[in-house]
Amino acid sequence: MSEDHNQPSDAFLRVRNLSKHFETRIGKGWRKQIEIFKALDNISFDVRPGETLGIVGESGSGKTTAARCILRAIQPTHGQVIFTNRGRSVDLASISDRELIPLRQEMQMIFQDPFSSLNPRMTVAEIVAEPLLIHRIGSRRERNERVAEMLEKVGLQPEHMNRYPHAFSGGQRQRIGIARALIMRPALVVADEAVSALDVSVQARVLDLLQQLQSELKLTYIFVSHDLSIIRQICNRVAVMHHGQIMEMGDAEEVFTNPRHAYTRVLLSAIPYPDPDREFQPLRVSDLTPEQLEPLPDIAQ
Amino acid sequence: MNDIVLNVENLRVSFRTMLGGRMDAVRGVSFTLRRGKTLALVGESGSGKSVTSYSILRLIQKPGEITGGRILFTPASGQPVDIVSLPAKSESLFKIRGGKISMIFQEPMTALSPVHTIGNQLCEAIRIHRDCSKHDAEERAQEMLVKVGIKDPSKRLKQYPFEFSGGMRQRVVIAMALVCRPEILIADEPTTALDVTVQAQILRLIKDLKSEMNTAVLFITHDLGVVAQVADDVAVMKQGRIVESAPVRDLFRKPYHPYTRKLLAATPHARRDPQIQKLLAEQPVIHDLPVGWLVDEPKAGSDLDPLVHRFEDTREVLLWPASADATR
Repeated sequence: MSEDHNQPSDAFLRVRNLSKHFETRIGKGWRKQIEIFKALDNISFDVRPGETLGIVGESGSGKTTAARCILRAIQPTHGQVIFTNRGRSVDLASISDRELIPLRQEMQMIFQDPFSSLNPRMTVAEIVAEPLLIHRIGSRRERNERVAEMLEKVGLQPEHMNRYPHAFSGGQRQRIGIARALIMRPALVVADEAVSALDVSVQARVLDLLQQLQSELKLTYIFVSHDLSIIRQICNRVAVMHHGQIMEMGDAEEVFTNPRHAYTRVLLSAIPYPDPDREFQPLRVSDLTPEQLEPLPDIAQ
Repeated sequence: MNDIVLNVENLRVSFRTMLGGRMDAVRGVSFTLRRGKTLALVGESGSGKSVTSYSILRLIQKPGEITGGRILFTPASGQPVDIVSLPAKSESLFKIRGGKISMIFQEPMTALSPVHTIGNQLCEAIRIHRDCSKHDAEERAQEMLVKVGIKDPSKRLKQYPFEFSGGMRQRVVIAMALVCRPEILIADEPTTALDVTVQAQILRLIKDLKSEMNTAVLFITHDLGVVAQVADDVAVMKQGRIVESAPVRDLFRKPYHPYTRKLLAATPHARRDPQIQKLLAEQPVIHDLPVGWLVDEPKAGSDLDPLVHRFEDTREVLLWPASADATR
């Protein structure tokens, strides 16, 4: 592409031709062959400032790989991830590790498992303050103040600061994870199955919290999930992924009520409805032809 | 066929805490399982639904123990037996586990050994419960794999669990659970960890096999969508007690208990479905409510016992006394 990615653009994030290949070697000795698994296969999309973009797909669809490539938690095989923030654009996929460090303050991740994403040997205060420490932000007193402020924003109490993760429920731990992700006031937050491990009633409250914080702190979210119902609740737009490609993308409500791609229709038909009188006739992916599994040509970006 | 194969009466299970106290996980739970019918046990984490189901197969270990109640199992042939009263290592208990009452879990790897082939494990399940040769067991294993929808069974039998996807492992575990044609299948969140399309297939599979073998199914889940699709009857659990139970259609048309209504309101569908919203907007009234009893939660610290109130023939709801002089 001939774009000068040092020019500010109006899209907050532009993903272009992003791919991630994993190589496996099969066979032994001199007969070794390399087999390439394309976890991400040439995906492109834009993320608009302030929106919540959903990436939905089943296991193996590439959605988590996409989230990790965007944040440079893993190195893409090729493609660009052009991030425009604070008046300048940067291709996250091609900058060096050193250049990436300060940028990490501007993009953060909320993880799925409330049990393994928090260090069990650190107190809540230490966990939430850690990003500030790593980036050497503020004095000790300033850090404590910010931690207290953040904990309050996510609905926790000051007395929770000196306790350890094991003392908290799953929902509370997710709140701690959210506090940690937001303490540096990032512009972009990627939530990877952030509520999937929680009970249904707790999910609803955590999603409400995320929406509230979004408007308060002017955040842009990329919300990755396999659960279409969750995605539908909080996303403005959604990308449906399958086998490393985006099958369909568009306004969330549109995609859910008028799915254009056969694969989206299969996914939607498989959701069981809380009404025993309603016909449950799930379609099957295995019934789709290879042509039907091609991405839509005019994917809205 | 409506005959009762399991009758759980006032089951109580407690765990001793390290500080010498006790935590009551199950506080007087009663329900029945009928042949060919599915009872869904619904609740969130901590409700006691899993502990209840593990108790049926006496899988509760120290510091947990069954502290009260009976679990009456009425097999198709043979004498009825109270599972609670069986000695821990008795022959009868071994015969029941996996043979007459089987269980599948959320994570298939809890039941699968990573270092043995699928064939090895399936055959073991078969030969523990019946006398047959290795060859016959393998044939039966292959038939079972076909039945649960796994193609190429002879090849698959020689493979290890890591060579199977999550959905396929769950199918294998179902095959293992059903190969001895148990009279009861306990399924503890079997599809929670699976993709939605795989879940749909597994639910269909369980339904088909249940009809074919006339098995009674106890299905534990937190997902009301799944409940609507699999259950004939539903029991909603909260904090160790069943707060409401009803046939599935009745429960969804008229949920009485506030907790059931809260679970329904928390489903993603509730926010956008006008029918569900209408349902939740009107609190139905129980007409023959005994005087002085409430459906609402008791005040914290109250040690008055609740009561199970039966109404409309098939429905039950848990009531709490408004004061110590409520009529019983």
